[in-house]
Amino acid sequence: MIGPRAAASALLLISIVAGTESDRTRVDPPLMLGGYRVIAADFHVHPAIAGGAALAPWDLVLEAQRQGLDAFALTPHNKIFPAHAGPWFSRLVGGPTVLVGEEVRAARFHLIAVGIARTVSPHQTAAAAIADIHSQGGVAIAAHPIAEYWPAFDSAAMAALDGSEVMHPAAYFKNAAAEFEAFYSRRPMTAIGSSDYHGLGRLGMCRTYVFAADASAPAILDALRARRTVVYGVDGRAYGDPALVGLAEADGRLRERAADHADSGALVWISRLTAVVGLIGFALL
Amino acid sequence: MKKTVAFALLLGCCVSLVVSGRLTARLVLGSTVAWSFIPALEVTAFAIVRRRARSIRTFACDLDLFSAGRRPWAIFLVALAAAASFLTPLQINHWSEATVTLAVLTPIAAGVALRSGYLDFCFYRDALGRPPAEATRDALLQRAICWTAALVYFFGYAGWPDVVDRIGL
Repeated sequence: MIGPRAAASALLLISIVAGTESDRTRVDPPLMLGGYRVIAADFHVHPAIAGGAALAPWDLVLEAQRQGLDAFALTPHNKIFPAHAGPWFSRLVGGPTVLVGEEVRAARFHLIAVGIARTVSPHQTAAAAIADIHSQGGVAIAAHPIAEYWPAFDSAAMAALDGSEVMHPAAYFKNAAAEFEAFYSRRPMTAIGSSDYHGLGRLGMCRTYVFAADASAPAILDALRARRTVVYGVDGRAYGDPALVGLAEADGRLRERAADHADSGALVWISRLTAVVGLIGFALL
Repeated sequence: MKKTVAFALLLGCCVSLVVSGRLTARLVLGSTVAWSFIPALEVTAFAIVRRRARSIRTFACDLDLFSAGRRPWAIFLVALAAAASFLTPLQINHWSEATVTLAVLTPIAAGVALRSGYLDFCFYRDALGRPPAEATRDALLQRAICWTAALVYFFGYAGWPDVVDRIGL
């Protein structure tokens, strides 16, 4: 007769075995379109180290790999030091390209800085923050630009801005999709889809398809500056470079890849149910 | 110490369940390491406060007794993680953004904090033999040290520019 503590431990062990066995990496073969390598990327990902998120940089690298991302940017709030662990760990395990970034979180605007070397201060205007990002060789993207943030993006900021999140999880509710689209339509800029991942939802659930020369960080940044992206919106509408959108539609493979890949199966359910029962037992005992 | 290690593991399991809807070795291990700062801060705060009392037991033994105060938090976290594991990515994003979620979770979390605080008070009073007023002070001091450090770690660095901005420095 086994005791309740041993039973809870056994359930957790079963859960870990079943969960690990079902933890398959999504493998998409490299896709070439129009002479470019199509990179699946997420440029708005928050790490747990000294930040309000669930996963550490090393876990984000493995999770990005599992979700079939070729690249992602680690964007801690108003700092960059936790982001440096990402590229290092990814090189170690042969993971996706990790770009060092920051979410510049000012009171009146939020800005994603990708490919920077030092922290961009939020204590300045949006235009000044964008100039700082550019001076470091980075790319500036308006983060979830709901109407509340629009006044901060004056003509100087709009003229310098590289891209805008036209797709973000908030697009599925709060009528944010219309606001993202209205901001994106202000002037030609790079279409970005990001998950703003904090650990809830799915990393890469909104993603940007970047048409780059290769999967390296400089090539991805070059492609972002040249607006060579395609993003699929809530209703399946495609945003981005019209020529590349046309190319992707004619080919069909990109839209197929962008479709939601349900992550379920018997082992996932076994792991989930045994975890819940085991953890409840663990917490109560 | 066993219960502290078990709590760190429970945190790792909860993160894995929320993130992937299952327990995987890589997420459990990685998250246990990443979130071990919480039990570490708790143990540090406990060690500081315990110096105020004269205990006849070993530190490890007292720490395991003190761990009873974590049970309400453990149950709360497991319930949250279990609920989250059954939601789709879209549902969980919607759920986390909804005002009603905050309105429901805040009073529950406050109740959990009170229950946990009461168990800590009982530990200082009964296990360490502190008078009720001292036991109350010990429980509050331990929380103040631990929670302040955790908040600084979790939000402080990012929040500091906002503070500087507000006071006009």
